[in-house]
Amino acid sequence: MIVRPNSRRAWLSLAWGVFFFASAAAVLQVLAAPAVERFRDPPYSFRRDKLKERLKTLEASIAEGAPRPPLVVTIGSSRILNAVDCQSTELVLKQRLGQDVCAANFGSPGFGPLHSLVLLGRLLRDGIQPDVVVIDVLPLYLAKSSESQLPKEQWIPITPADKAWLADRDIEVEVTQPDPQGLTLYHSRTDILASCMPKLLPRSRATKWVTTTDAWGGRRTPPIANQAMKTQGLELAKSTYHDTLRDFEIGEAGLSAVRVLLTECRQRRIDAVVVVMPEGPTFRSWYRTGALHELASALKCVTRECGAHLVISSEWIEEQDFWDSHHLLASGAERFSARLTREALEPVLQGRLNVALQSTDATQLR
Amino acid sequence: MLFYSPEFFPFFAIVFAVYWLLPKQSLRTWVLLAASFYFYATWNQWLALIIGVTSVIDYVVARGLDASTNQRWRRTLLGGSLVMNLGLLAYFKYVNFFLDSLEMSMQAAGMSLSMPTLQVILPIGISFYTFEAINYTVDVYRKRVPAERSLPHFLLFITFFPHLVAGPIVRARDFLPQIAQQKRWDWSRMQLGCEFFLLGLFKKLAIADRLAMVVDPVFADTQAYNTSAVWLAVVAYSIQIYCDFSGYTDMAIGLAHTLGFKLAKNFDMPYASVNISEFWRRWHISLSSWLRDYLFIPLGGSRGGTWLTYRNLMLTMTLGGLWHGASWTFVAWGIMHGTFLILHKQLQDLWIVWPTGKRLLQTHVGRAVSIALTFVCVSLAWVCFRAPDFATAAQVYEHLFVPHAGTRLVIPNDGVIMILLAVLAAHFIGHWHAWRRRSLQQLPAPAIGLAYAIALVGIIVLIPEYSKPFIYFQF
Repeated sequence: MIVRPNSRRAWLSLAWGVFFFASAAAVLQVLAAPAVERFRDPPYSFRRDKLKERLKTLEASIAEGAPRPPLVVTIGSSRILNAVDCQSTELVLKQRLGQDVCAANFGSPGFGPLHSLVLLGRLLRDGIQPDVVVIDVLPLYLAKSSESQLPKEQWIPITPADKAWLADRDIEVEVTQPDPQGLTLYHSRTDILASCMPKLLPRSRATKWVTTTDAWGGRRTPPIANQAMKTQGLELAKSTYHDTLRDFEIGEAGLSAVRVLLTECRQRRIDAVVVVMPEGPTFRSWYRTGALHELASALKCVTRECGAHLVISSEWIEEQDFWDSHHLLASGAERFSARLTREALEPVLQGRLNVALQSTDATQLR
Repeated sequence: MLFYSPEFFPFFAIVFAVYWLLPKQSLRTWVLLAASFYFYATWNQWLALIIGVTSVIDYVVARGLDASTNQRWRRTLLGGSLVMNLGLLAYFKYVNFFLDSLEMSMQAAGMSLSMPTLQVILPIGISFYTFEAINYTVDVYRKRVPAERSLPHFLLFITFFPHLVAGPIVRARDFLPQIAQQKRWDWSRMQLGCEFFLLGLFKKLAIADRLAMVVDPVFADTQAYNTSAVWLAVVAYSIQIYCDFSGYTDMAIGLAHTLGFKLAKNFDMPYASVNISEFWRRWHISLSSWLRDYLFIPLGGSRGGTWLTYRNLMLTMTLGGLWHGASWTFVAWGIMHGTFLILHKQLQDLWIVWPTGKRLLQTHVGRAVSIALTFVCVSLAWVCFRAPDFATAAQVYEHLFVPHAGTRLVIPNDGVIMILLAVLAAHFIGHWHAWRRRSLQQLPAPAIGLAYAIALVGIIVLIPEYSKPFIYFQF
């Protein structure tokens, strides 16, 4: 090969380009390494810190020797993130049970059962022991056709500690860092853009979503300005879910991830409440006939087996209270929160308090 | 498989490696041919077969045209080839359009007629490769190019994957000699190819797809938006379609360069045109020159007096509109451009009798006004092109010219304006060769490498969450 001056310059330019790009990707990966947790996974660390602060304040305010207020944590997808108003849940439960309750929302977009298991592991490792965990199970992750998506953990960076936690439960996942293909850059692009040029993003995406959450970790869907946005949301939901739901078959991988999660809760004496979240009639019409029934039966079996509670709230809310037929608008979220608190959380917590009371009485008698 | 989809990169890497590892150009031709058919078959293998079969027929017809001196037989062969190519185009692309139009006109005439809707899959890129096949047989008929003797070479001319699905529409006389030529590895050419590819990626992913987030909701529900939002969306669509289509072309040209081929330039800063006639010399050059050479001039061009010229212009642009899509909105778009061209011709006639007007337009201010006016006319015509139907187009026009209250765009207005300003720069970069000569080549290699890395990081960061296929794939 004859290397002319221009050719030499050309290949040097290309080589430098590859070098600089690889360096940029590597620097970003180092930044996103587990040590730099706030950058790596802001949705978790931001809300964990807020919860710790609230717990500290709450514990400081209660009398010495009194039992600590029970902690209710919601985990799962963006559906539960938008749907549960932990502030009003706390108020209602305090009124009904006659004691303080702490509630926190850890729902995150795209979370399935494995993500929830990772999140529970992180909470426990960080010294946060929930009493009740409300688990939103996104049906998409229970579908046979989604089984291959489960171990990929696209929405949550997996640290070596997460990997070890999952490995103890016989679940193998890859540590997502370091990422040799520069995918971190690709996956963090919206966050990067939100930091540098938020004006290039749709208003709803211009800020990191977690910074728009309230002190309890939840987030209200912004009010819908017009039908076009609603239609756009519905189209997006359709393109994401329709095909999977049309051929919906329960897959063993998804169910077994739920089983592991519930078993973990049981072993740690955490009351688990599995919720099949509300869906609009349009969204429900995308399921294969009979699929919803099969889904409910499968979850009934798993929850019974693991001693968990099951709430099937698919039909609780009407279409107009959804943004895209599966994410609740503020009006729908208010109704859902109130009903979930009344029909599920209150009895579960009441049961826990009664047991605690009985064991205290028994100790006193002895 | 799109040029930026994850599956394309391993495909291209394999093709590229095998291609350059082979010593003989004839073997490389076979590799490219196999890759091109595979590339097309990833969409639909049966449609790949159709291209293969029709291309073989065109090859045989051209050989027949070359061999025969009997004018009647040659005319029959050419007619047969045209009927086959246009017939396939009509069937795959226009049959339902014709049936629907027939049904509507019957109903308008008071007759009740229900036409069936045929389940026809539109072969991707059919309009492009049909035009390539036609220009080849016509040129052989006119004895402007000799019939290609090698079948693999001819098949590669039609199916070469960088230009197969959305052009540029290549001419046999430009492309066929390149196939036979032994290619030598050239780093400068690789660099040029990579630059074109990066530029195309930037235009498509960073600009066109981001602007689609602004444009799509407005055309989906115009009533909801205020007048300024609709104006911004219309301007944004002009930029979107330019960046989408020229982005594809840049990627195609870049890929071809890395394989040692040169594809024709398809865009030349079209929005810097001072009049509509110049716009068509700068926009989709391979199509406009095709329409000029194989439609406008055979119709008589501008040789038959004023009215015949106007008729020819209008016919060419209307058919050009229809070429884009099987819908009356595309026809309307073509008619609008035909009208603009006629008006421009009349203006030119006016400048002969009033030269002061022409002199005024040649001043800096006059040129700026001309460019702005041309851009506005082109943008207004794009409304018909983008709107799914006339009702939507009418709504958009109404919102543009009658002030309406309503909601804002999804992206803040200043964000959209920022993107549009960035595109002005991209438009400038579109004049790539001159720009490259002037600035890039003066820089040291590490600085150029840094620029590539920044561009690639910029592209990745700016990729929207939901990217869209190329607009021109549907044609």
